[in-house]
Amino acid sequence: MSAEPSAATSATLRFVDEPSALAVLISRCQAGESEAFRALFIQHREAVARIVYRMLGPRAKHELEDLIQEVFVQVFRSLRDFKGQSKFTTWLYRVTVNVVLMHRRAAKSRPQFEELPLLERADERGAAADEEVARQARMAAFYRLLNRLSEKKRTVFVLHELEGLTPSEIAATVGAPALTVRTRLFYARRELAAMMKDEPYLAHVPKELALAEEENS
Amino acid sequence: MTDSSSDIRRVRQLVEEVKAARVPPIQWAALEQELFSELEGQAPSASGLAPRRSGFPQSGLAWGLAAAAGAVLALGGYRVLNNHHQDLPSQAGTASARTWTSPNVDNAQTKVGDRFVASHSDITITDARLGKWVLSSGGEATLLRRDPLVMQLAQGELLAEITPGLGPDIFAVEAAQTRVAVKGTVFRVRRSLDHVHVDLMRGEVAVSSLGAGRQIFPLRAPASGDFALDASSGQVWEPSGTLVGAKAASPNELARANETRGAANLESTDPRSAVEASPPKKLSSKLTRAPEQDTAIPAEIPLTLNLSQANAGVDALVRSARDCLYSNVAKNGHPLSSKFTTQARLQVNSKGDLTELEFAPPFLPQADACLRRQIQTLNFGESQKGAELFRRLEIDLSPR
Repeated sequence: MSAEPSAATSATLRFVDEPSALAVLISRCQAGESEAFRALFIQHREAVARIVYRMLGPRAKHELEDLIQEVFVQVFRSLRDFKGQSKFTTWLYRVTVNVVLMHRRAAKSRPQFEELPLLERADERGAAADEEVARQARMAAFYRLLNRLSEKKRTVFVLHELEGLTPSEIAATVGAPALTVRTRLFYARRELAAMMKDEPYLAHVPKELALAEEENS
Repeated sequence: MTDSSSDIRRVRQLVEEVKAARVPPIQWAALEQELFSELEGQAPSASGLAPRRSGFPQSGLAWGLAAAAGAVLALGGYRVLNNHHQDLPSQAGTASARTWTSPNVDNAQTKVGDRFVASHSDITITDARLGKWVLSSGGEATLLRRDPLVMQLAQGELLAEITPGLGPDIFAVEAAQTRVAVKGTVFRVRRSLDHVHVDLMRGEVAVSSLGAGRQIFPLRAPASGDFALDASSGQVWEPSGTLVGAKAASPNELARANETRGAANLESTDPRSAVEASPPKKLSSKLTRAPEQDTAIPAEIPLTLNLSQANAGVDALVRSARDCLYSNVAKNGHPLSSKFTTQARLQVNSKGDLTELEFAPPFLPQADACLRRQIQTLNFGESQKGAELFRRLEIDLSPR
């Protein structure tokens, strides 16, 4: 039986067995090799950046790098405790989520400033610029609503809907039963949908999106 | 549709838009420097790692490597210093790994863990056996393994020209959680913040995920592909801009694909995955601007299955399976309306004939016999090695 990749697009095939590469890298990190930790950082930094950004939204722009750094400091400190009983990414996500949640809790005790959506390189050409403004407004509104969800619901919503993790992966990440995760997800969606009706930027815009989708299909 | 489900659908549409939003640019080099400065300042007890001498923890292995590196430098350094100025690493990152910034590097001089930082100009790494690979200006990569040689692309673009005929799995590029494995080929990998782009000029590569699941996207030249950082989804394109294969991971995309293409085109091990509806134009325009020599490469029998032929074969299999199941399943006088889902394993030989076919769960014996009769002439196309395919088949048994 061939062990090479040889199938069509979405087939799952046996492949050159490489699962140990990450394990080797982790054990090198645990043994104290700085370059191994650097490789680990390079390998996973963008996934961490994405989760942090998606959990906090556009307002995280200014603190994104600090939080990524904090995540990897925590990883560095705790990596020795990683026994390989779960997937490394699951463990890393847990660290990342905890860092973000700690950050949010700390931020609650500080004065909050509502940041208006800023145009990032909005195209100067009429319709395109309008669309970009609308898009950024929707993003900001979406995160406003997301922030109104409870911490637990928000976390499972982000990890599932935006990061694509399965309920069981999220369960391992947040330390809750998969059924609880599904329940939180259900209520998070429902609450968001209800809140959207009262949000000026989202009350009608998604309908336009739906219309566009129907036209496309 | 109820108001409630309509609202949920709106949430999902919005989520898709949020997902498409890119993470703001991050100054990775500065962040890395700051992080490692901070880690050097961590107390050993706080870090939980081995006590270290110069900030960063050093294990016995690291000291051993340092001693070995010292010995290598002592023995071979004179020749290197006098004859290969361009090959010298610009700085010693640690005792066990170095950072190369010079434009020409002999791979024989490199070690696992070495970094390549093309700050101002390209870095060309040559290997007498494997060929050469060029890290474009602005790129950053690390040598992860020696055999097979694995370059980890942290950022930027890497163009590899690998000597043909060395056998499979001799060279690979990893970008984020995506691996591009090579068998005698010319290809380019470009990593951006949210995806990995692969241009294949000659030969074949297989793009796969480093994580669980091992989704495989085989590319046969000339072709290009865009993949998620973990290769959980991706699109593969022919030079004409034709989409020849794709996977995506969102339920919405699945729904869209169902609407636009029909269930027969769904092919995935992941129920969330789907075939995307239309290719972005920018990709096809990139491909039509491919260098002339890329198109002058003579046609050859592919090493493994041609992607579109394999897809067509599986589609034909699904159609036959549907007919056989529908005609052999007792309907009790009522229209049958359900879906049958099974995992299929197909073994295809070099002539493209199907030599083995297994389903789990299996079909009813009558349906299975019917199917095997119907697919006797099914051919997946010629290849050098044939292939083994694993597919999750969803067979719609609703009346036509």
